[in-house]
Amino acid sequence: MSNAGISTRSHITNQKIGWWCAIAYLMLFGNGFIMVAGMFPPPDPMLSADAVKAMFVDNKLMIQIGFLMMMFGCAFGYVFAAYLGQAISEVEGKFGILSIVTFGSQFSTFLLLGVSSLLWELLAFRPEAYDANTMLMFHDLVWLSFILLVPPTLPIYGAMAVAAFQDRSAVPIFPRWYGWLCAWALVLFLGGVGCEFFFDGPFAWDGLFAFYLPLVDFTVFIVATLTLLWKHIKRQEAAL
Amino acid sequence: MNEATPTNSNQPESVYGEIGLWIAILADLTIFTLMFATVLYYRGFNPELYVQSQARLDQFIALINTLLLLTSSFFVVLSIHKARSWDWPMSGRFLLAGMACGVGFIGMKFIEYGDKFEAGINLRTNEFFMFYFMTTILHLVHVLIGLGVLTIIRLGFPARGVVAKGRLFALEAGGVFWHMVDLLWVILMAVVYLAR
Repeated sequence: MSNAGISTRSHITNQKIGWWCAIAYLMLFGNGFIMVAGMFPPPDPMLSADAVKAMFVDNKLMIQIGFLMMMFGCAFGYVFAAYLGQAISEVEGKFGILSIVTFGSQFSTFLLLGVSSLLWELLAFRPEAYDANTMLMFHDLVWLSFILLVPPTLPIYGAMAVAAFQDRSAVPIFPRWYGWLCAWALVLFLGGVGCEFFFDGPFAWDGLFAFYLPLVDFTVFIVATLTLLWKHIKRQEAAL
Repeated sequence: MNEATPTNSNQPESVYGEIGLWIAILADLTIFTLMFATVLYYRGFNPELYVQSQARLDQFIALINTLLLLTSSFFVVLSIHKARSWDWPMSGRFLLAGMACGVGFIGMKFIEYGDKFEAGINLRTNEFFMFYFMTTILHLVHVLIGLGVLTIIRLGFPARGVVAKGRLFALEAGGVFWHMVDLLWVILMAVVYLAR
């Protein structure tokens, strides 16, 4: 840190900004998607074209606001992606492969989430004027892209697990148990990849294994991650 | 860091691997248990469909696969046993034998899926085959992960004499995971292939 232009204290401040950006993105996603847009529980994939159209006509404004919140959430998500990549680079001692994978995979996740939010915005733009069958197709697209985001996110968990296992420092940022947690999270997310085959049942996009378990999985992962990162910030402050 | 004697006093005899591994395995078992419970729950609504569809499964291939995985687990146990008495060459041979059984399992699975596809059965045929394909594919992913882990462990085996600390530990941890994959198959076999 000796040749850096900014002080260690500023570096810690930037990490705190990254941490709070994670809270901001979670709040915006959670409230936008669930509370405002009302996408929880997810709409039944068996809904008819007319029912899908009616859903957007009836809740137009709330859906528009909800997904606007999602798009702002993505903006905070990018900052968090950078912060998480940087945390892994501290484990690696440089911005190595694990850091790049963690950052890049997170970045692309938020990019794709931004695109699917945009498509939701399109559906709510003037649903009265759109053909119901076309809306059904776009509605399938947004949900499939939302759930099938899973495979591109898997390298995050893989890279973080490897980082936790390879860390030899006395006080690791991510202890070994966290590595096992990431490995388990990775496997659990696999249940969602069947959503393109089914309209009904536990593997459909509103099902137990495609939606609810990955949601629980992600919650456990993000709570553990943010707790460990906060402890790391506190340790750096104590060492000042 | 090198060690040539079979002393591993820092390893308690009662716990193989490490506690995090066991928690991850328990978590994974919980998810599979939930999945099997879901199969049985849905089965309750339409038991006839399940019995009819089950009749189209190849019980013989499933039996071969069960034997392959049980044998594989046995070889891995022998491998760990040999490693604990510091006979690494024999340990390596048993590990390879165990892995060969795992590869055999994957081969049999491809034959089984091939037969199903040829008969016009896929994961959208009906509810039973949705569960059949999803549970067996998820299990197959575990087999692939397990084989990958065992391969990495085998590649790390010592070249004669000098043994790094942690090799036995890695072998034990990989073995624990492999036994879980085996255990999952036995339950899967009961729930998907045999339940009446």
